[in-house]
Amino acid sequence: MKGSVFNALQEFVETNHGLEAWDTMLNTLDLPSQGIYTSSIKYDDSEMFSIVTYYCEALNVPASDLLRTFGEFLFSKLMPMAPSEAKKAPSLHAFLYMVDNLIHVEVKKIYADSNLPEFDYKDQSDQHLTMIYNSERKLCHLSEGLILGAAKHFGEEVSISQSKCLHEGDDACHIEVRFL
Amino acid sequence: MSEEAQNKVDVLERALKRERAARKLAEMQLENYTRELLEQEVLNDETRMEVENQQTQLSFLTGLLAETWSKPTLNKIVENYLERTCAFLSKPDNLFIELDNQCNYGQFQYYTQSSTESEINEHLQLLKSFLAQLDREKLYDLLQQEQETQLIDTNEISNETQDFYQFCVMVPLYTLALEDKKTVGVAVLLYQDQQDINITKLQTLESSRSMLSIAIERKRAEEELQQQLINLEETNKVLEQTQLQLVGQEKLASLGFLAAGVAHEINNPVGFVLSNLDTMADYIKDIKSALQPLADEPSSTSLPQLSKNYEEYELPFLFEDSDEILKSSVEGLERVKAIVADLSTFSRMENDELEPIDVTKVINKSLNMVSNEFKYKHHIETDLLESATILGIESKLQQVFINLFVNAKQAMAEGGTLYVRCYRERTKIMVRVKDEGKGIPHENIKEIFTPFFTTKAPGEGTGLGLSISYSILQQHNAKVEVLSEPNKGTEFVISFFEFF
Repeated sequence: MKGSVFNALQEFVETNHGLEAWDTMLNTLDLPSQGIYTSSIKYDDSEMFSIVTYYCEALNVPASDLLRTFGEFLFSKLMPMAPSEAKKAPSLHAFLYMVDNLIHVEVKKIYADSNLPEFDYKDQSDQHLTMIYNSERKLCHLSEGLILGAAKHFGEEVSISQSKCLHEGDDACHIEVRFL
Repeated sequence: MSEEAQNKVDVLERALKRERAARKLAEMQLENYTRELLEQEVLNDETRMEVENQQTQLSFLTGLLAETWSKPTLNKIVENYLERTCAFLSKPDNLFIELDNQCNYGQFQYYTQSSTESEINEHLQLLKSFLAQLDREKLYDLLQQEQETQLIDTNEISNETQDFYQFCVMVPLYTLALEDKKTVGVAVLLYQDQQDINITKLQTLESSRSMLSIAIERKRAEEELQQQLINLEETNKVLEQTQLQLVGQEKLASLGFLAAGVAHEINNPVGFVLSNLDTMADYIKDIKSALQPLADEPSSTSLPQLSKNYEEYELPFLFEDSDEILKSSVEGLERVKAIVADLSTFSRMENDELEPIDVTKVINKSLNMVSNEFKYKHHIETDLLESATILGIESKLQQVFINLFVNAKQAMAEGGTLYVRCYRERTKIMVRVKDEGKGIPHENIKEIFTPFFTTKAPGEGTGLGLSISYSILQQHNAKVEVLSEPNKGTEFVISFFEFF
């Protein structure tokens, strides 16, 4: 996982819980990177999982909630880096469609070694969209948070649920987005 | 400082340390990217140069290929090769040498290029002096040993020390083995400096060699073929002349055959005209004697003597017989005149223009010519049209008929009748010449128009008669059909287009 995600996570923790919360975590976990994250460098995924697990225990919240909240925050950090066409997307629906077809394509151009999740789109209508998420990281809840962040960005209201989930033993996560 | 404050400072210090380390990493990352970029650029440059090189080589090869095939002669191919090679390698002066196994020069060509004329002249002088100092035996031996392009020290193939051209690249272009003579053609690229030699380009040159060899071999073969064609044309011309001579000879032969008969035909009337004239001379003498009294005594007294002489010299008979004699003499001479006239149309052959002629007339003339041949054991029966006009050449057609009539007679050694019929059939004029001779064996029928085919003993016939007749008839757009039955006879059926 790219350093930029760790940077965002650090900012998220420090904003909500103060500098000490991040520092304590690092002192406790003794991660291979020693908490030195540079945005363009790739770090082991296990560091992310260790950090998430640490905060879930420390704050006593489910990982899904924590990731969803972080996802919303992460969106605001990623959006400025998106291709201009995506920024000019007319609606949330159009934007979500661009995630796999445009944004990830552009990211691959800059970071050929990046390990991005794959999205398939199904049941597209004005009211509804199924985004089929697939990634070995199984961070579907982070995606939910990102979608929520995007909805906020486009000023739209959505409800999100998963009809299938990798965590439930399914082949892929089916994220059902309903446009309200 | 309170413990809490101390803690805060410690946290900040650690955070700062991490930030610094992260910055350092970022900077290193940046440096790496920059270095990679630079390396990539160098690589790109190299690739671009490589591509450019390959492009030059490719354009050299394709250009050479295209032009080589389009050049009309071997010399032009070599000239183009030297010029292109010189431009491609940019430095050398080029020579082309053809040597045979006696180390004699077959040919040579120079090529040099420069912006100034004086430099070109200077280089041409240098090339000439190099050529003069060339050790041909050495060069020939080297070419025998190595069939591929080779780089050698110029001094190796020179009788004298070379101080201008230091190195030379020898590109063998072709080897030709003709009978006991072997010829090698080689391009010699002369360099002043080893630095100028570009191995990659020389490799390209080497790869163009096989194609060039093929082109040169083809061109050689083509030139040889051309030469053979010229030879063939010459042979053909000789043949044509021979044929003309043979055709002439055939005509002479038929003339010769006819000569005896014609001589007889002429001799006869001439003989009796002569004897007639003898008789006439006697008659004139008698008439003179009978009229003598008129000369001696020109008066009425001589009348009784004259009437006496009139009876005595049988003058009435003399006058009557003289009329007969003169009449038959005129007739005899007319016949001679006619034969000579027929003979002269026959001998006149130079005219090749078709003109309206009367076939009946031509048949009659031809019959006149051969009538002597048929006089004793043979008959001639004719059934001809009053006149039948076709487009033709009288003398040539006459030759055809004479040939057919004479053949018919020869086929009827024991005697027989020659039938000559001429009649109309729609737009055609048909002529049938039929004999009662021994016939033509079935297997020979398709051969009878073949030149030199003859069943006559050697020396008796040329075997050209019918083949010439056939070609004459073709010239007349006439069709010929041969009907023959052994021991019954042969019939030639000829159809002409009638001319209206």
